[in-house]
Amino acid sequence: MTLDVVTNERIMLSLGEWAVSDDPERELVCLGLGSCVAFCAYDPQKHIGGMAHMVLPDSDHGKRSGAEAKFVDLAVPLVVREMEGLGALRSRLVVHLVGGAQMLSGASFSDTMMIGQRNVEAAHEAVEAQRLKITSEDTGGDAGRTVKLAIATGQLDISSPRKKLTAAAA
Amino acid sequence: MNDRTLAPWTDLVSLGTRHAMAGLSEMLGEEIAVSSFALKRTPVAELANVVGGAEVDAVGIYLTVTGAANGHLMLIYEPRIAYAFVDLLMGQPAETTQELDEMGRSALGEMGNIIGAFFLNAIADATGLELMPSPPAVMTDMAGALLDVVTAEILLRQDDTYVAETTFTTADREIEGQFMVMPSEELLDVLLKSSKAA
Repeated sequence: MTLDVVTNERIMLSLGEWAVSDDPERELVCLGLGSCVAFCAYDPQKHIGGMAHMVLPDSDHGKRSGAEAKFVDLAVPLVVREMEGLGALRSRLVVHLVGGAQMLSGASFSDTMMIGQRNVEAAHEAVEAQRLKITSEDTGGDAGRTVKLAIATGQLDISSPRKKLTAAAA
Repeated sequence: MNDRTLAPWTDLVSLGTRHAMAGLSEMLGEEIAVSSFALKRTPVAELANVVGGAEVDAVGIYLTVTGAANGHLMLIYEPRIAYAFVDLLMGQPAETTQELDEMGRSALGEMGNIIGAFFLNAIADATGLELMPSPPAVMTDMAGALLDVVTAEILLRQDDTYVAETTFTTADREIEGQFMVMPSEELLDVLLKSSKAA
């Protein structure tokens, strides 16, 4: 028998994926978010967490097939509904938004989609439509982020390697 | 888009890649050969796996394609490979570059210019279409974050894209890398139609 190191089992969410869990040994993770936005929600009383790796703001424009949580306007209500299914109470949900960076800058790309900013705006609207409040937000800027949500504690861990590098160099 | 489109598209990308390397050889005055080439169709959501995962550090050189139709070109490398390219471009011994400074960025941008122009010219000649590259953007961040630049726009319309995996060889070194050529569905249609007509 090997000795277990106390590390949570990670559930990795790729583009357009979502997950909810009430398993205290799990951690929901979005790696390397650029313009994508992670919707993170947690019920601190029931210790139920949910996360979605959202890519695009609006399902009205675009192909609806594929991963369900691809669009912000579909992903947020979906995760909230699934969390309620596990016994979470909407009024207790603590909500965090992470990501939505503008990865490209410079004159030649000024008219690209501004997708990061639009994702963040859409996430605000979707959260409001669910009658939820945003507790914390780490969005915008020009650096990628990784976010982890521990189901046992609701603790949110955000890292941004490039931001750290830039800060160290300054 | 389906599997039947892979063969003619492979021919076009292979042609473009060989021309791009010929352009780079010209720029460097040193022979660069494409020693292996494979084109893979992959789900957009799994693109990051091609470069070792969404969280690994990466260097991306990105250009948009406009003209007859729109698309993206992205060269994405783990830092070690990008540094190897900088050494090659600046005529330095291998493993001289250990981080990306302004000079290195500008060298990689110039490489993006050459590769983009030669690649698109070759495809334009083969298809009779006018395709123009944008100036390149050189970015460093986690691979997933860099890929978001293209994945969002591609996922809007389609779930799969194409990645060319190539190995380049020079007289004294071998460099492996991915050359991601991501045509919009519209661009792919136009290219394949024109390629058949040619």
